[in-house]
Amino acid sequence: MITKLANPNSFQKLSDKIYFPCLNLSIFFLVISLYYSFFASPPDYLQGETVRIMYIHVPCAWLSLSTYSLMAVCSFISIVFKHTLADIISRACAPIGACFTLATLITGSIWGKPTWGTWWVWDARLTSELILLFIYVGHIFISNAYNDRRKGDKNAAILTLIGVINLPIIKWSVDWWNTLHQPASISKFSSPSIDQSMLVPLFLMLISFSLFFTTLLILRIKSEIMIRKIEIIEFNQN
Amino acid sequence: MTYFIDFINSEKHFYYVFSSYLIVFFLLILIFILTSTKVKKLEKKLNNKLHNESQD
Repeated sequence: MITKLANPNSFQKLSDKIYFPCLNLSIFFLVISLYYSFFASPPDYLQGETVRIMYIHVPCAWLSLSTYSLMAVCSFISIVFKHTLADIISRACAPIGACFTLATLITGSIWGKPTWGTWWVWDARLTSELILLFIYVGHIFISNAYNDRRKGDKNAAILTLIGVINLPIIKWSVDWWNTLHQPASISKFSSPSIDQSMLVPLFLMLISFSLFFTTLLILRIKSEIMIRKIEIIEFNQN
Repeated sequence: MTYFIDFINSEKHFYYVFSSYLIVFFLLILIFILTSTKVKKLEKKLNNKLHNESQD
């Protein structure tokens, strides 16, 4: 199964089948989550109505980290096994990850103004998330900086693997340092500290955004495969 | 519905929340449109190349 999927053509056939179901499900979950976010969720006793920003801020933040994790796995596979599909996925992920990271920073900043009284502080969580955005942008620039696509992919993969050190810093910065950003409300090891009425829109939005991420990833992988096919045809013609 | 009416009437907070959602959806729709346009252009280019190659 994995061997079959590792073939770009087989992967493209499968991704074509799941593209529309993913997009439709993403829109379906988005509509439900918007209903829960605005009609079925109460304001927070401390944050007031601004708590509704959390329903898009947190899924964006989770996706910015999970996209980078996926890129790191692909970069490792690319360097060790030199597999083309790993490079393709890594290239396809970077702009999507950058987009989610930018959305996280902007929504966090907007939430910070009424809650903290400032748009930005050089807090450990905020700064490490900003560094993540720079790594994503660096990956996009490096992978496109060379005429030889393989050289660009290799150097971008090295940058991604070096940048992995930033992931635990983002995740545990709120526990390691005294930061303005609050600690995680949802943990794997303990019950969530937020009410059920707020958890439902949060998870529905996460499902919607994850499905949208998959849709975008499929599209971008398709475009990367086509770019490579065009290059091969042009090379054979010359 | 009460929650929504209270939210609409929460003048200051309304603009913070509304602008957050607007920016996020703008970014996501923008990257989706850009990617879809790129895919369509590439599909056209690839089909032309394959057509030319088969003629040669």
